Amino acid sequence: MVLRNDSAVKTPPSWPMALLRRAWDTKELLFTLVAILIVWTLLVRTGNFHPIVLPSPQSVLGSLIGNAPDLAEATLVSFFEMLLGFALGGSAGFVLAVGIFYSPFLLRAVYPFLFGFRVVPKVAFLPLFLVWFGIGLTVKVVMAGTAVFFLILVQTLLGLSTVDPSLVELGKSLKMNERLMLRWIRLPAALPAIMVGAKLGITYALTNVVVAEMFTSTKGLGSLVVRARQHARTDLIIAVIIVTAAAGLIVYLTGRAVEKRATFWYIEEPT
Amino acid sequence: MASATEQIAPQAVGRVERLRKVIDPIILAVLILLGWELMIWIFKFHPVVLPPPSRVWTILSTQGDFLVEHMLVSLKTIVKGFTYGTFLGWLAGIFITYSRTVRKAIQPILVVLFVVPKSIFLPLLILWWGVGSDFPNHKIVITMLLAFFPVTENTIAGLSGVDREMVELTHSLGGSSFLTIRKIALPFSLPFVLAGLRIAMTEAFIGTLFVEILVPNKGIGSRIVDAQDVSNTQFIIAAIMVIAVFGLTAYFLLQWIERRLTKWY
Repeated sequence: MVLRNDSAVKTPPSWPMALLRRAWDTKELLFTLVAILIVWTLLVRTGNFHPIVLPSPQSVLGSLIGNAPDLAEATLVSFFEMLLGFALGGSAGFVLAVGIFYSPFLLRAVYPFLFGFRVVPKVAFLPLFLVWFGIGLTVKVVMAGTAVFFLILVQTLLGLSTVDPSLVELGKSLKMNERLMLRWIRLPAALPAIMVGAKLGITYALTNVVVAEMFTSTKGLGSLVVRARQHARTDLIIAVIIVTAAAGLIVYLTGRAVEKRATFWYIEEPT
Repeated sequence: MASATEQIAPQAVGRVERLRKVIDPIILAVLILLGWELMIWIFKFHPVVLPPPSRVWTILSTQGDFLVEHMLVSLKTIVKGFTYGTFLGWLAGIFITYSRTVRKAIQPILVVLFVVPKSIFLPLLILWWGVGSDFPNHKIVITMLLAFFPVTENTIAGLSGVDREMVELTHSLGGSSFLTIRKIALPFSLPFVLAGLRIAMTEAFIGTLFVEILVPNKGIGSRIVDAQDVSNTQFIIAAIMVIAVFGLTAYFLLQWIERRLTKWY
């Protein structure tokens, strides 16, 4: 084995070493997680809690495994509703934003309304949506879509109205008509802002789907957690929380990866 | 530190432009109201499905104080959850920025908490404290959870953006790390924190309203559910309008404070 301290070039470590280093990097996190588990176990062992109040980690693990098919089905249902709402709400918001952008009247007029809708919790519309759309799939898709709609609308308007003027000048000097300009200059320049909206929007969509499911549903993660509570199955409640957290993390990381991929050429200017 | 909605505010240059900035939204509002009436007229909607604007107005004028009274009950929860949540979020932001150990130990957990739909915790919280508990209760904890993250995120962004040279200057003049944080980093990050507070306020509204609608008890959200039970659609719409007015007021109040405190920025 040759030790080369003099070389300035570091050779990348072999993969088992890299993996070990990665693992060592997460030692603090592992410590926290283990500490939580130990405290939890100690509380259950010594605190004399009823399992309804605090089930043991083992029983949570048991219900994670035992109810795996139910949990998987609920996750898939929620994901389906989320994606449908995202697609419908997102495309509606995008099309409307482009329309508003080309109408000077609407561009001025719509601003206070966007503001008003931003501060109203969308959940307040849920009872109204239940009257309009019943308790089926539609109301969940609409709830998810509403959140995504406003985000994409605002972000697309933001992107379109902050396009670098020199790019627009360039297009004009190339005698581009407005259609070409929208396709090749305005929309690509607006893409980073739109993707920020999409990334946030998909997370919001999942949140709103779960809320709608909790309110009135027989399927999905939200309804599963409510049913678990009705049966006083706290272990199942915690299992659903863990699965939902994993689902949320997957959605968030996917959204972030897609955003990076779509706007790889974009370097965020320091604000 | 303008939010996306503010950044698309129409630019007013001349006097005519400035006038149209005010008049155009009013024209649009009138058009929407007319379209709303007209739709009912053409499609003969049942008032349960879509009540005419006049009926909503009747509710607002006759039951306005009832709505505001219950909104104030909700506002109490909102403000409590907002205060505790944002304070904890601010502390978490400071610790995560300045302690490598804390950052590595809890940031991944916070990221997971941030992306999980917070509503899923509600059944567990109700099991722990019931609906009768005063504090901590499920309403305040959900509101806190939602108000927590915008502040944490912005505090970290603000503190990590502090000018290195200023910090080094303070150190070279003999300032301790604590002094540097107190005199340089915290004031520098203030605009970020205040912007986070504004977002947190909107989130706090979401949290409280969600719990009130899902577990009807007190507050305007529960009154919306009551109205839904008796198919009183005009009441729901009127209530949403009251919530919007309070939400906007809270938002602009925070913005006003923000502008006053960050004049030097």
